[in-house]
Amino acid sequence: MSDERESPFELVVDGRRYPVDADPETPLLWVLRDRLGKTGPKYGCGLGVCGACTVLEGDTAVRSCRLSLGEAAGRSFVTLEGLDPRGEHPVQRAWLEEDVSQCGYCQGGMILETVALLARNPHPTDDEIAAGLYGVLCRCGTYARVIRAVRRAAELSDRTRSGS
Amino acid sequence: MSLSRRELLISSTLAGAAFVLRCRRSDDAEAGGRQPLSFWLAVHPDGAVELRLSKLEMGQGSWTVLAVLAAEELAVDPSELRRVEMSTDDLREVPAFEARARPDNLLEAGSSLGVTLSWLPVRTAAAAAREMLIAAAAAKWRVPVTECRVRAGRVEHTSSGRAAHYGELAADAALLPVPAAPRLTPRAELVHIGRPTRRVDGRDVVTAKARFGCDVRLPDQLYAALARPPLGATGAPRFDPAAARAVPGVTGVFPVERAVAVVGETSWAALQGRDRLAAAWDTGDSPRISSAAFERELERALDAPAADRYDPRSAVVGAVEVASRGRAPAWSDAEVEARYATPFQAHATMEPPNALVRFDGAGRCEVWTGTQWPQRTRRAIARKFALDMDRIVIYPQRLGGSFGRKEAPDFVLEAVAVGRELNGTPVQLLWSRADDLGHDHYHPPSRHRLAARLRDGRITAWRHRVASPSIEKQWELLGRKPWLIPRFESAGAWEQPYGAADLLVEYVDLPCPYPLGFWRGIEIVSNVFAVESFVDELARAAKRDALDFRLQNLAGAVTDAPPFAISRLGAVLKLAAERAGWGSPLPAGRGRGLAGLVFDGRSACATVAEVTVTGGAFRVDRLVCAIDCGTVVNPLGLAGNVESALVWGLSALESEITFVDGRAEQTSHLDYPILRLPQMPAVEVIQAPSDEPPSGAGEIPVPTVAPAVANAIFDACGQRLRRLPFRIEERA
Repeated sequence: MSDERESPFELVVDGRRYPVDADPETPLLWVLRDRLGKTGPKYGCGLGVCGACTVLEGDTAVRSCRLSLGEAAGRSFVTLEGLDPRGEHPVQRAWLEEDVSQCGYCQGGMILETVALLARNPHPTDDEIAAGLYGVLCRCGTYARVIRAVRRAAELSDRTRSGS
Repeated sequence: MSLSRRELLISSTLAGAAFVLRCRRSDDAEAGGRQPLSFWLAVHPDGAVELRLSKLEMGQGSWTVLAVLAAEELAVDPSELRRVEMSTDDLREVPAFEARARPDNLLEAGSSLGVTLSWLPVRTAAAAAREMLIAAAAAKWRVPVTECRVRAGRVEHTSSGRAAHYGELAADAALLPVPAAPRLTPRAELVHIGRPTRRVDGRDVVTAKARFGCDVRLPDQLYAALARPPLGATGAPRFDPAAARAVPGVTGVFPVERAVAVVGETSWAALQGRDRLAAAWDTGDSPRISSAAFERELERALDAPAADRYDPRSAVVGAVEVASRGRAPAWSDAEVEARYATPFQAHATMEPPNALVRFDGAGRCEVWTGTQWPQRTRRAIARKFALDMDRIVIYPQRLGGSFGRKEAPDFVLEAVAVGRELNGTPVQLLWSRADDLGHDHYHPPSRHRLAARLRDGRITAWRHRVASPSIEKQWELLGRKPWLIPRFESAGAWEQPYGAADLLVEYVDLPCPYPLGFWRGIEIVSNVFAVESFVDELARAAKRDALDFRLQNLAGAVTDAPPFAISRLGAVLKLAAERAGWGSPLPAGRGRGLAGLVFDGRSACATVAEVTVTGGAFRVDRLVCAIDCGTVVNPLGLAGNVESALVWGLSALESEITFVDGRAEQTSHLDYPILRLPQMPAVEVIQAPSDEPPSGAGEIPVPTVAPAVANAIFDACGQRLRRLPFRIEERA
């Protein structure tokens, strides 16, 4: 557990500050999961090629298995837990409306990668959706619904922005 | 009379439907006023209905189906049911449970039987609860039960306008006897069954509240990783404990059987420590094991001499007859002949295997893990560690994919071995992706030789020899019926639906040093790849359209597949072809292919693939899949299952596991690719209307994908791909 007395590192996760005492080489993924109890980010490969461990830093999707605690220290991240705990974020709503998830293991990566995609490109084409989500693997094969949900999330985000 | 793996399961469990009704708990009102109406259902004072989940969730949507079935009979919304996960301890509260002949499928998931096995028992349990609530209301109001009905979580007396929600009636209802044969809602009155229902656990997934096995955390738990020996290793491991202990956070290094465990305060410490061990094993005089040599041997096994009967202990490789009719066709008489090949495959579940184990210091063993077979895994622990069954409890967790992988108890047994060493301290065993690909229970490779004769567009003679190492033999699930093994391993081949007056289907087993397991669709995937590719070759040899040829041969076919399934297959072939625009012209370089199957004599499915071939590469542009799996409980869930099965089939067009020196060469998604989103074709799913009981869907479309795509590639460029993974030769 995190040590309050002499913690050489500090992370901000889901808006809360956490002191962390661990080997600086430890990937952020394992700090989040094993030290901070944030189990939304999942282990899938440890190489940054499956996307299950994705978290957000601002509007950018980050593979937490490839970022060491030393590098991550002092920075601020959002996990799936912190996106909107009620599930009312437009991307979460789109996911529910399109009934995307199956086993659910990869879906945090899919959702956060979509949040990042829509932040930099609010109206992606199908090719841009495909390119944007290339890095997140789903063994259940929810891809067809993911694509529909990203389109719907773009619409819902528009509505949220315009206040309707 | 066909007898298949799934039929064995069904026959052993439908008998279990009755006990659902006889197991009302006697502990009456519990803390908080929760009133159990039966083992499965309880009502809370606020009227909320609680449902115990008799099936695991691994992505297939079983919790949603269970909720729909119960909600239908209780006139509540499926999403409002309070879902309660069960442990193996809870199952012991089912009266007469232990005494009964192993209703193993309680909690268990697999064999595409979730809906089939839940369809009547869950509705019956919920209908019984409904009748008890109605009886309680009728007694209270002194009116006939026939004048009362349920609606929106309440019992209503229509003429007087009186109404009470379930919470107000539960205490009285709980004292009533559980009806043995409650009336199920007639088909015409169904409200939820057959309508699209979104997943009841969807919100938990998108908010990270869904908890998987790897997410379970106990106070003061440690983490462990194992260095495992290669196949063929002998003797004890050599390793460098000091190097592992030098990793910050590593707390223990010790051998566990032939492996070495590294325990640490975090997953990372354990995994890093394990990687620093430099563990090595003698390979002694054992032959260096490579899959290339094994697969060459398998190829030769196709030419094995005939054997009288199947003997699982025999070292002699022989061809056993599985099905025969008329005069056995000789290879030399063949008009068309072809050979097909499929490789080893891995499951590569997104959540690698893991298990958290706590021994309490007094010999009680608790396990938190995603397993497809909780009860059998519990028995495996008892057997291996000589523990009393009553001292072992498994808390099955949501599975981050399984597809058959987590039927094997290997990773749980490893975790128990580590947990026993740390007696008192909980420890979670993690598998890395390389561990997962390197120590799977693999889908076995197969080789096929097929030959046929034709007359006027009809198959008159058919011979198919399947060579594939037996999964069943390794698992010993058939106990004293090993003669069933050839039939299981040649499923999809012996009962090919097109028939032939003269027919011989044979199976050749080859003892396999690699651990084998059940992989979505199992042997049917390989066997149907061969059958449906060959049927396409026959259609072309007969100069017939591939759809017409299939329909012509299905009509009046002499086959071991059941007649109702044959007519299902004919119907779905037509549905898929029509939707796909079968027969309409395509631009150069594009092609269409068709494949269908009867799965296990139950459900039927057909897929049309459209591909584009460019140089040495192909792209699947579109899949149209029609399925008849009986009554559809949740069309939205079924469509998801079909899409999922199609993607599983697509991934297997490119992937392959190979072994060198007893180790898998593939260690990550980079060398064991699974489909990525940009490769996703357009998918259309057609669900055939049916009033028949649900007959299963989760695996059924998988076997259609490879042959449909191979047939489409042939249509596009004239190259016949008979070996998976597919590689197109670039032609000048």
